[in-house]
Amino acid sequence: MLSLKILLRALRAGELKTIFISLCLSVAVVAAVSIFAERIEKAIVNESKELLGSDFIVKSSKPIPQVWIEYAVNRNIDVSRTLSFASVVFFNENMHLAYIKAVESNYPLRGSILTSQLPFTYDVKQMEEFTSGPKVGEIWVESRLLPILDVEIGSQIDIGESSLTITKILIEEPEGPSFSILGSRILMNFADVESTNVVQPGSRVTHNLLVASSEESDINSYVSWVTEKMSPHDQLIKPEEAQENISSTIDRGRVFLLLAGSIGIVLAAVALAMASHLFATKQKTQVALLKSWGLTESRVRKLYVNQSLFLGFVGSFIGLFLGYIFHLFLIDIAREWLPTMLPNPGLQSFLISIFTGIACVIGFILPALWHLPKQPPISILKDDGMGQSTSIMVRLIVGLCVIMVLLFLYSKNVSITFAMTLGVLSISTMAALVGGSLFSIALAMGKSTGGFFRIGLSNLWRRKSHNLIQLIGFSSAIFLFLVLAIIRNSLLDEWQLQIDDDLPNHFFINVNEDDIKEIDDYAAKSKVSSAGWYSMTRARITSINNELITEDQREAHRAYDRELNLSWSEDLPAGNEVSSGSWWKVDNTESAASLKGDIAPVSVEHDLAGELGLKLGDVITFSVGGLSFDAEVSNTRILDWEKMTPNFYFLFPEGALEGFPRTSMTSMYIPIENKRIISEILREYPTIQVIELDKVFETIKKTINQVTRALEAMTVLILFCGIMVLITSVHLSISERMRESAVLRTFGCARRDVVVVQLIEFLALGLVSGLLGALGAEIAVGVLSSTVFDFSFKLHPWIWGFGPLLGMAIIAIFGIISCKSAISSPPLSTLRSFN
Amino acid sequence: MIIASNLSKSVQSPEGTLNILSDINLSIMESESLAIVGPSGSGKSTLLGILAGLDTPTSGDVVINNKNIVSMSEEERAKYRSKYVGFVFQSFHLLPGLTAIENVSLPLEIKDIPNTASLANDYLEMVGLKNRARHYPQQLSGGEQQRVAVARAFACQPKILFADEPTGNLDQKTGAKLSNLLFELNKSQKTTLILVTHDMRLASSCDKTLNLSDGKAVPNK
Ligand SMILES: Nc1ncnc2c1ncn2[C@@H]1O[C@H](COP(=O)(O)OP(=O)(O)OP(=O)(O)O)[C@@H](O)[C@H]1O
Ligand SMILES: [Mg+2]
Repeated sequence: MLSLKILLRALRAGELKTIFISLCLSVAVVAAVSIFAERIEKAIVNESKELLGSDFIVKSSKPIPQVWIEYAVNRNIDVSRTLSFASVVFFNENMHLAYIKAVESNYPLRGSILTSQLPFTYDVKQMEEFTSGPKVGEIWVESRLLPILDVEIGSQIDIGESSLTITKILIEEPEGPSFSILGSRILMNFADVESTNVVQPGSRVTHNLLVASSEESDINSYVSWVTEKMSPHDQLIKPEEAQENISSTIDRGRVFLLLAGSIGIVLAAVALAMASHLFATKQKTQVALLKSWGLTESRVRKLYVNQSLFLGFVGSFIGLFLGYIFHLFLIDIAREWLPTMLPNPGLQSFLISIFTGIACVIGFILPALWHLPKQPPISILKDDGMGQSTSIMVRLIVGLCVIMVLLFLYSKNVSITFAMTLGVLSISTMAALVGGSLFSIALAMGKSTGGFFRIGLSNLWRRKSHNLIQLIGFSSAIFLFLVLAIIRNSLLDEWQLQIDDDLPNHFFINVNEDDIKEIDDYAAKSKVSSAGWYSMTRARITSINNELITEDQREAHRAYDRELNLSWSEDLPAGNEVSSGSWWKVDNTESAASLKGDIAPVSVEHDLAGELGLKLGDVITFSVGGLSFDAEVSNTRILDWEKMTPNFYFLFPEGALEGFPRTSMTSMYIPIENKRIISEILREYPTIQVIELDKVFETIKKTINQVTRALEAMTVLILFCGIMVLITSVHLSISERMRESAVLRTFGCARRDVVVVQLIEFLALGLVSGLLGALGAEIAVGVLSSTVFDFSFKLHPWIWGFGPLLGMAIIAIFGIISCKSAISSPPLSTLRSFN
Repeated sequence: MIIASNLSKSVQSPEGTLNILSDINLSIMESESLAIVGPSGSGKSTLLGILAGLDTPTSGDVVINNKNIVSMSEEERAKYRSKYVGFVFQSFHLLPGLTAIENVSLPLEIKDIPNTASLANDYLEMVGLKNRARHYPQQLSGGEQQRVAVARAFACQPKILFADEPTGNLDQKTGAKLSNLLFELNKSQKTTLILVTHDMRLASSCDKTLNLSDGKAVPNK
């Protein structure tokens, strides 16, 4: 009760203001980011479920066993089967190899099917959503099938032995491919499959079992049950895997958010540590009084511990409230990118936030106050009797440990934790090592220059220990801000490449070399142009190391079962990276060319090589339309999928495939209003396959824009935290500065001169902090680049100029503003307030 | 009753051992007053601190009401301070964040004395500052601040009041008013008064005077 009373009075007196604000702010940052991140994450999972049409899918090349369905039905878990296969569809003489999906009447279990009555429409008003598929006897087809078969809505087309009526245009359906390579998509009713008679034992069919339940525990238990029953033919697809094309952007955005939040925690922690230090120095008189009145050490300690804990709880709850409000603001910024219904946050984020507040009290406030109760009572009579404060080293170690725990708890990311801790640690060490000697140099420099420089610079030296804490605070703030700025810039640079406006968004493959010119002409008429043509040869793998591919292998991996695109290149394609072996040198190509029919070197994509078990030196036999040739794996490559340029799984030296039949491919940027030319080209050249990536691109673009905005909002918040740290550390010495200014002015120093003295000290401090901050930033970014963000390692010369400039500017501006009242008010009133 | 015998205090300094006090003996009866005088640096504050149990001597004893406070543990000394002792300091030591009345109440609250507010109010009235109760130290003059400090010391009704240059920062007239106040309270509440002062007039109104020079007691002139 007494502690509470004293606490409230201290709050009222403003002595606890900075502690309280930094405490609230640290909790607020943690709360905002973790609630935001949690809700987004849940929303993404939900959205992915809609894309999957279910909570998860069991995919199989064999029919789904009846027991799997019964097991689910008995437990009130919803299941729905789908069947996908390629089949030729006919209308009069016209035919087309379509990608058909047969769905049961309860499909989809999550999400909806987007359709329209008008082909090739991009007008949302024309579109209609359905939560179940076509009825028996009906089919829904993709727009481009209409011109290819020369049909319209209402026409009956033949699939196998039955004919079905087109009733709707299919735009998008759950669990569909994000782009179609196999021809037009057709959705039909599961019950019609039998009468078509196209699905025979042995034909290539994908069987899917969609599973969903409102009870997460049911889903989990079904997943573990079914996983045990699964054979190598079966595969489990979870929501996390549904959005691969944007997952990397979201992932990095999320990591950035966590990083920013972590930086916020560290900043607030630094502010808190400094504010507590300041508070402790101000408590000196009070503790001395309490002890002279006969309060024992343990009672004084209890008083302060109670106060701190109380402060911790109240601060945490207020911080939580503020954080919740800020998270709403973040959501508002990212609105368009988010689904309209965001799932509610769980308890976890709230608990983490409160825990952060309490941990901050234990890690930063208590250590700064720990020495207070030990203060000898005699210090009330003599100024020198101040108890030795807990050493900066001990406090630093306690603080770092708490920061590490918080960072890890919060980011659940070892690299972020490590990078941040390493950064703070190296700054503190350097500050301790360099700071002391720098202050001495400043003293010497000041002595030799004289005048105001002497006073300013020798002040730096005189307040050494205060300044050391201040220096660590300043440099940490600058360090963290620089880290955030660097990572933000790198991410934006990288993303910018992905959302360039005229990146190709359509691929045309399987183009006959003789048709290239005409297609180019076609495109030119619609003011669309191809981004260069690539040639390739279609081939099958027939054996590896002279062992024929078995039927089992074919079932296990599609690469054995279909024609693959082989291409050639003299140089390693841009964005590719050799992961084993070495890229061929140019002089090899001549011999490679002469090797035709013999063994040619081949470069295989890294992941595929892993899946097929290919090692360097393995010999692959390819068959191209009946002609066979051998190739030896000479290296593997990692591809860059985010660049959206054509990528090839198998690359040969130039000339190695000379003489084999070739087809060509190109990519084009086709704006939405020109999409009609695709069907025109397809009608003219039915063998061409088109891969439409425009929808994928739109999603990526939208995501990147929104993630960028969330990221900027976060950066602003962190900037606030950083400025608060700087202000706190200026306040650390403000009363002393004010007293000093007043004394200088009583000596008759002009106001301007007093400002100059302060300014020199602030600028010197800013310069050193900026340099230390830049050092810490290089170290932390180095760690982050090579671990979480996958950037190539490089130094950032600009921060070595920007850091010190930022430091000097901010510290000088806020320093002078804070000192202003002391400088401009009459010296007597200032001095009196210190009596 | 306070009896100090053979009190010595020395500290280690870079120039060797420094004797701040050597061989001080004194005794004061209940409700008596003692003035410690001497030039600056002669050890007055040090002696006061030891008598009040704020510090310990290097050797010698301080016996208060038949208890030797030197051999006590710090915890026991704290209890002794809490029970018997009040202070008035040269530089007031009011807490800047608290109003005058809160400054007076604070030790009462800490010692769990009931009716804190009215008691504090009474003592503020006694020192003539009732109408300044809600003012902060910054808004008070030096003399007013010192009167608040006196009210704070007396509010706990200590058996012994220690004062280290209570009038040091005040002009003569204000100083005289304040010392009158101290003696009035000394009389009315039977408080033992031990004060350090440079003011000879104040010293002469005390029952006893201890003259220190270089840490040694010298005979009164
Ligand atoms: N902890 C210490 N270390 C070194 N010297 C000390 C210490 N404490 C006191 N002294 C010295 O002992 C001497 C007496 O100090 P004290 O504060 O008792 O003097 P004082 O008589 O109260 O002086 P003033 O009238 O100026 O207040 C001084 O010279 C002081 O410098
Ligand atoms: Mg003294």
